[in-house]
Formats: sequence, structure tokens, C-alpha cells
Amino acid sequence: SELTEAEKRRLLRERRQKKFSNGGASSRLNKITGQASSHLNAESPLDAPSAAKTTPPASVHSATPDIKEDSNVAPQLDLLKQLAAMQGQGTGKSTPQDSSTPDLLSLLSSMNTGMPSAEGTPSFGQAAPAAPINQAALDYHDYLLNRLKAWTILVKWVFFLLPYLYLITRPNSSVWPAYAFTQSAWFAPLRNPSNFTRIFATFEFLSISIYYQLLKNVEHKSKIKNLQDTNKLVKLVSLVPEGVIPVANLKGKLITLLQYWDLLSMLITDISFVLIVLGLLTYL
Amino acid sequence: MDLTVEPNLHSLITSTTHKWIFVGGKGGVGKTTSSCSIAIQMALSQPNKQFLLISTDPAHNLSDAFGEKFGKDARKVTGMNNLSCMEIDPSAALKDMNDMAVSRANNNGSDGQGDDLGSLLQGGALADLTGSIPGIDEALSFMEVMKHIKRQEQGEGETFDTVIFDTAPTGHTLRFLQLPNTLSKLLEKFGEITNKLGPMLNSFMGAGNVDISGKLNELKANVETIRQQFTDPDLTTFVCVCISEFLSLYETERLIQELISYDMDVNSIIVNQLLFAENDQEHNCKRCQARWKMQKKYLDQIDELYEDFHVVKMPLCAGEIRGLNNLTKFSQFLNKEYNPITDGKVIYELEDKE
Repeated sequence: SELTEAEKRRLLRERRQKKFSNGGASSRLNKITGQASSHLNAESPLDAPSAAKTTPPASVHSATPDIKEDSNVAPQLDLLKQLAAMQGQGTGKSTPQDSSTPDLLSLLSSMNTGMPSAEGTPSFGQAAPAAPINQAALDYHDYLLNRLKAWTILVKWVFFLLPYLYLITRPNSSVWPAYAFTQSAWFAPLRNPSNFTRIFATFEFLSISIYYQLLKNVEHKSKIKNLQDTNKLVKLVSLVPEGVIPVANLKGKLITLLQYWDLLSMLITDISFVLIVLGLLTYL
Repeated sequence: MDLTVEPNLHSLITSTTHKWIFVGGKGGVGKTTSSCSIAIQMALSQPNKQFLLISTDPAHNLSDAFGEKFGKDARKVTGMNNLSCMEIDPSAALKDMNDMAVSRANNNGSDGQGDDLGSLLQGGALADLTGSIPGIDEALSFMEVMKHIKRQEQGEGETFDTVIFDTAPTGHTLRFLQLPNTLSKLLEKFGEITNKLGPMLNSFMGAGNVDISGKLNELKANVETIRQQFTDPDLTTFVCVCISEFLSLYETERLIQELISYDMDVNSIIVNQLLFAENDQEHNCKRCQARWKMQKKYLDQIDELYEDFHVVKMPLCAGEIRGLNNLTKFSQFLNKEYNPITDGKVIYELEDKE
């Protein structure tokens, strides 16, 4: 069904957020710095532990020297003073609710170390929680892939492999004269069982190439890279920081390997099908 | 399910929901040209709406970009009746505040203390003091945002449907965007202090009839409104501007990640100063070719990294993009992407700005 502009924007936003979550942000920076052989920091603010941003205020005693030394506090203090000045500079009517001494030093310390947000709500400037994976988009992508695979297998098995196997095992069947083209001279090599390996290999090569192209089209359309975005092994490897394992671009190599495996598995499935059909035909 | 992303800003330019549009990036990548271009295109495509372009960069460029002087108050761009510009001037704003403080001190000077304070402030002490605070430009820009919201709520003065920010280089901008959060925290703590210290604080701030708690709550509510609006993707978005070079790409990526950590929407990237050398029949020198080759390398990376973003590729023009006419010509490629084959002649058509 057609998406509205708002839905499209939301889906795209979720997809963007997904790419930056689960270590993806640092991996992107690593990629940028890696390709330019740069030594710039590749640690992402999104992957920094959130605890650092919500450190509880330090004790009064330990905080005091920090306040004097840390120049970061000064602008905030001045801003506080300025705010007070901007707010009318007059007396308020409010009365104190209690007479205890305000914990000014811990306030300053809090400013220095960062304060937890009020009422426990995630605050602006605080690391956003990891974006939920856009399950709808992933499910739809899976559906497209499964449909492609099913159609590919159906077409291959029903329209080529099955008739072909029947042809080479039952060349004199009464079925064939009904199809005039099977009796022609150019069809003769197909009827010859000794050509089986060559014909099967050519067919597999062509069908797997076409399948791979269609797979890439699906990925391009849905903007989800099947292996990169959904494979658990790839996700695990992407969490390993660059340099820990002495293999350059480990993730890329793994993705290439998995792609080959995906295509190889198609070939193995077809070989299994051929063996089963040949086995069945010997009994029929 | 068609999730293709157009390589232009058409959806933003025609958007009727966005109230705040930030344009930012590394220094020297064309932020001002890009923000002016976005503002012009929005104003042209939505003639019934009012747009305001604010420069929050301490080194203002808007006046130079349009070739006319803008100040701290919004003023319409000559030739456009629905686009205004303003340059927030920290020193002028601080001088106003200083003058206010002086007059207040003098008015309260009957007990003798006011004279001392007044004479202390006469030399612009407050302006000198606060002017040196890092981040004061951002704070003042933020005050403008608050004033704008208040005016809209109260229906006072000139109101604008969309405000476009021509921001300072990345560091300043991030500080500006952090302000709602910082202010929320400060006001929270400040509220606690006023509750505890009440009368003492009031006498500290002078005798008047101002309800500090009320004012603080009002300010807090305003800050919260801004915080909510800034994190609402239908109301606020950030347009990153970069050039096709390593440092710019790196800083853009970091900026995007920071913005995402602030929960802000960012979905557009303008890549400026592209040579498109192979399509340039007239000036296809060896240096241009080499540089275009380098740009293409980073463009490929940008295409791969930002496939879900509106990546707008803008050409490097032969002349300076200054003045409303030149900006309008250039800005059309934000609405409909630049085609080096059919649009190539435009880059030589910019008028000389005397």
C-alpha cells in the first residue's frame, strides 16, 4: 500500500536511528577515519556509556577544588547570575518553605559533573535510548526476500529442472511428441544425458546470477542490507573494535563470505533436489 | 513500499509544519549561503507565510550575503515581502542590559548604595563582565527564540511561521542546542534555592514587586516548550552543510551523531562546492579534474553512509553567491537537484557584486 509522507518520514527516521544504534555510530566514524588513515577520535557520543552523563553530584568537600579549577563551571555560573538579573531583579513574594541552608556547593558540583534530569525523564542533551528496530520494515524486507526465494525455486524446479530430469531419464516418453520443439535437432544436446553436468552447471550459474541481481534489487528498494542489517554474526563482529582482531575490514570480509554461502546454499539445494528427483524417477 | 529519498530539499521547502530549521556545519563550507538559499526557496514557495532568518554566528555574514545591513531587529529583505533577517548582536544586547541595570541602580540610589553600583556600571562593567562569558552568543540567540515564542503565544508584534537559523560553526551550535537542557537543570536548582532562601534572595535582588517564583516557573515552562519543539521532528529539523573532503565529512558525521543524541531530527545534508569537472567543457583543467576525483571519492562515501538522508549536491560557482538575485539562482538547486549537463551554464551566470 502507498505510504503517506508522514509515515515515510517516520520509517526513514527509524531506519536512520537504527543505523546509529548498537555500535553502528562508532563503526561509521571508524569507517570514515579508516578510509582516510586518520587518527581522529572515532568514539561516538552515541556509544558513550550513559552513566557518564548522569553521574551523581560529588560530595561537598571533594567538589570545592574542582569548582575553582574547572573553567567550564564559570559560564554556567554566570549564566545563572544573568538569568537572575534578567528575571526582573526585584523581590519575590514567595516565602521559604524551610529554613535549612541551601546546598549551594553541591549545586555547583552538580553543574560540574552533570545532573540527573528532573522526574527521571530523558532530557534534551542526554543520550537518547537506542532506537527501536523498525520491525515493520524488517518484516516487510524478510517477506520480499522469502517471496523472491520461493519464486526462484519454483521457477527453477517446476519449469526447468523437473522437465529436464524427466527428459533425460524418460526420453521416449509419450509426453514429448506433444511438444514439437523437443523433437527438433537443436534440442538434441538436451536429450543427451552425457551433457547433464555441463547443462546443469550453466543453468545454475545463470539462475544464481539472476537471483543475486534480484536480491540486490530488493535490498536497494527496501534500503535494508540483508546480511549487514539482519545477520547476528555480522552484528557481533561489528561490535568488535577495529584493531582488536588483526584482520583488516573483518566485517566486510564476513559479509562477502556470507554472500557466497547464501548463493552456495542455493546450489546445494538444487543438487539435493536433483538427487531426490533422480532417485524417485528410478523407482517410477 | 517506496522509501527512496529525493536528492533535494523539496519536501522541507514545501513543508508547512516546520517552525525551526537549523543550518550548520564546519566553518567555511557555505552555511550562510545554504541557509539563505533555504530561506529564499521557502519564502518563494510559500508566499503567504512569513519567514525569519537569524544568524547566531558571532561573525555574522547575512548582511554580506544579501548585500544589505541587518541588525538585532528583524528587517525584511529588499525585494521579498515574506522574508526577514536579523543578526543577533551580543554586544548591543548586553549594552541594553547594562543601561537598564544602571538606570535601575540609580533609581534605587536613595539609600546611597545605588550610586556606587550605578557608577560601577557606568563604564559598561556588566557588558564587559558578561560579554566575556563563553557561550553568551548562544544564550542571547536562545533568548530570541524565547521572545519569538512568547510573541506568538500572545499575538504581539510581527510573528513568523518558520525561523531558519544560520548557525555558528559546530561547537557553538551544539552549545546552543544544549541550552534548553542546561537551562532546565539550572532553573530546577535555582527554583530550589529561591524556595529555601526566599526573603534573603529577594533583598539581594533589590526591592520590587516581582514574583521570582512565578517568573521562574514561566521561564521554565518556556524552556520546556522549546525543548519539546526542538525534539519534535515535525517542527524542527537540522540541515547539515559540508564539502566533499575528509575533515568536513568527519565533522558532519560527528554533528549528526550529537544531534541524534539530543533527540533532534536530522535528515538533510547539503554538499557544497562540487566541481562536476567531467561535465564542464569550458574550464576542465588538470587541477579541477584531480580535485573532482578527490571529491567523488568522498561523495561515494557520503552516498553510502547517508543513503537515508536527502543528500543535495551543489555546484561550485564561478562567482561569489552574494545578493538576492544570485542567491535565488543558486538556491533553485535545493528545490530541484542540480544537473551538471543541463544546468551547467548557471554557474557562470552569477552577477558580479560590486
